[in-house]
Parts: sequence; C-alpha cells; structure tokens
Amino acid sequence: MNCERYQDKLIAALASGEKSLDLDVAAHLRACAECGKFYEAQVQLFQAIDSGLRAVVNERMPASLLPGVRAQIAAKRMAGSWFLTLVPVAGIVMVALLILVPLVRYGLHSSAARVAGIPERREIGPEHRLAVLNVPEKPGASPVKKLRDARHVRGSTAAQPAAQTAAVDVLVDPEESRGLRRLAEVVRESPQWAMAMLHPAELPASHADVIRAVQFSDLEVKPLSEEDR
Amino acid sequence: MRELVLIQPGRVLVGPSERESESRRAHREFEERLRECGPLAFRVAYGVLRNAADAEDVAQEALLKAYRNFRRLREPTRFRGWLVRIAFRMALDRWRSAKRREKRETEWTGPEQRALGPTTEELAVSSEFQARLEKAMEELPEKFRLVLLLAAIQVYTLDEVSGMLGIPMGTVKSRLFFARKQLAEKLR
Repeated sequence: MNCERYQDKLIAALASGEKSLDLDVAAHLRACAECGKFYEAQVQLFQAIDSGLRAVVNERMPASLLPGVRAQIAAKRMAGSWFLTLVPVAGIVMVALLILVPLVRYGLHSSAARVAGIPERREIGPEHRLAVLNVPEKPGASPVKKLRDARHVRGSTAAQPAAQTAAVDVLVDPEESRGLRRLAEVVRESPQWAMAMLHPAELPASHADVIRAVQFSDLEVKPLSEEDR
Repeated sequence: MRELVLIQPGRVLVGPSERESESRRAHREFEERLRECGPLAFRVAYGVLRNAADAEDVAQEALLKAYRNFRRLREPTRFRGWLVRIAFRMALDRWRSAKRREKRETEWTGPEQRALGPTTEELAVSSEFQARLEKAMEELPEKFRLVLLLAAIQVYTLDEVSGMLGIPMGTVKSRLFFARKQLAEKLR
C-alpha cells in the first residue's frame, strides 16, 4: 500500500472520530516520517475544526430569551381570553340590536302617527273590492276618482263604526251590478242568508250555491262607465 | 332519568374545570420544556447565523411556534427534535435572506465598497481560521450541517442526536463522517 492510501485511511479514521488507528496504519506511521507529519497536521486540523464548531454552537444563551418567550405567550393568552370573552358579548349585543331596532322603529312610527292623527296603513286586498264609502259626492266627479278618494280614506272608514256610514256606494262592473242589485233585494227579503254568510258551516248543503250574499244597509250599486273600465 | 352522552372514539369526556386544569398542566409542561430546550434552540440558530441577536430572534420564534403546537409535541424527545428542526430551518431562511440582502447592497454600493475588509470588531470576534471554518460550514449540505451542529453541542450524545432527528444511529455517524471530511478538505 502506498502513502496516499495510508493518508486516506488516516483521514477517514480522524473524520469518524476513532480513537485508535488500525495496526497496519500505525505501523506505517512509525516507519514513514512524511506520513507521520501528515498525520500530526491532520490531527491538529480536526482538533481545530472541533474546537471551532464548539465555539460556534456552545455560545451562551442570552438571559433575555426565555423571559421574552414567556412574555409573548402571556400576551397571546391574554389576547385569547379577551377574544373569548368578547365574542359572546358581541353576539348578545347583535341579537339584542336585531330585535330592538325594528321594535323601536315600529313603536315610534305608530305613536307618532297616533299623535298626528294619521291613520295607520293597511294592506288593500281583494276583499276590499266592494268599497264601503263615506265620501261626500262631488258634482261632476267620475266614479274612478271617487274610488281613488275612497281608497285614500278606506283605512279610516273601516276603523269607524258602521253606524256613521250614512251613504254607501259600491263601484262594480255592469254584470256585477245587476247581480248585486238582485242579491241586495234577496238579502233584504231573507236576512238569514246574510247570517249564513257569517256562519257557513251551519248552513244546510242545499243553500251552498247561494252563499255569495253580503248584507249592506242603504246599499246603492252604481255601474262603472265605459271609459272608467 | 338517564342522560345519554356521545363521545368521539378515542376521546375522553372532560368538564370545564378538568379542561382548565389540563390547560394549566400543559402550560407547566411547556415551561419545563422551555427551560430544557431553550438553549438548544438558541445554539442551533447561532450555529447557522453566528449572530447572537438574530439567533435570539429565531429561537424565540421557534419556541413560540412550539408552544402553539404543544398539544402534539408533549413527548420530550419529539418536542426536542421538532424544535431543533424548526429552529434550524428558520435560521437557514434568515441566513439566506440576509445573504440576498447583502448581495443586493453590495451590487448597489459598487465594487470599491466591496474591497473593504472585515471591521476590527469582526476581526476581534473571529480568527481567520474561524472565518474559514464558518464559510466551509455554509457550503455543507443542510442535513450534514445540522448533524454536525448537534454533535458539537456538548450536552448531547450521538444517540440523543439520532433520537432527536428520528434517524438511525448509523445515518448520524455517516453524515457526521462526511461532514467532517468535507470540512477538512475545504480547510486543508
């Protein structure tokens, strides 16, 4: 084996940190001065590397490191607990606002309306097709105009007692007008049919086909003119 | 009246007070790990960065990350290994970004600035050999570098390093061997 091979073996032994050398390598070192010098140099090099590495990694930890970590953890925990406390509170406040805001708005509107004497708005549905009016008739006013006027006051009219409604107009199509007129006569003659309208369940089956009657006091039916239709 | 309670498989039913004491226990355990592994995180970071302030920042960040993940890192060996790896990785990231910044600044300031040698302070801190050693370490592959740093920390044996990194003892030894050999070749 030549010196180069022995030197490789020496480096391998030093790099792996072996304490003792193989017998043949040790014998060559004793015999070869050049390899002996090389070995001494390599031992010093590896010692320098080891001490240099130790100097790098065994630096003293700064005293401020652990307190710094503890402080940051404490701050995070504090923030977390505040967050956990605030979430339900914020939720409750939101729900309360969602409930209270419409209530307060509706309450203020209706009380203001009461103070000002403004009638509350009501929905107009198909049941209002036969309009019970309490509007003084203006000379020359068209029936449609009357109907519009009536719609403006319908809420208040409906809220008033029936006794106050002196004149009653119903604006319908001519066919309906004829039917209603006939119905009004029949109802006047047989008021029990009007009662039957209020209590349909109690009516006998034979009368079911005539349950279209409504009783009006002082009913006056006026047909719509062609241009108003 | 009997109360029916549904529990996920593998879970134990805990009340609020138990949960609180559990959290306190976890905090206490983390405090123990912090005292034990804080210096290790700092040393690993310092081994890469060789700047105490930067290493402290990195170690602090790594320890806070470990705190956030403490539920799955309660086993001491696992915690140590995880912390070492995360501190090493974070330190490398910081070192690389510092290098990039340094390169940009050097390019910006021009070649006449680059000709300046190390400051007196730098010379006082590290000898020429130490500077060459550090340079040689930077050129090592990451896996060799980490094993080399951990093996150099006086507190830990190779067996502990193997446990920390979760790799066989033979792998630790071979990485250490190649790392030392490469360093010697670069410094010869």
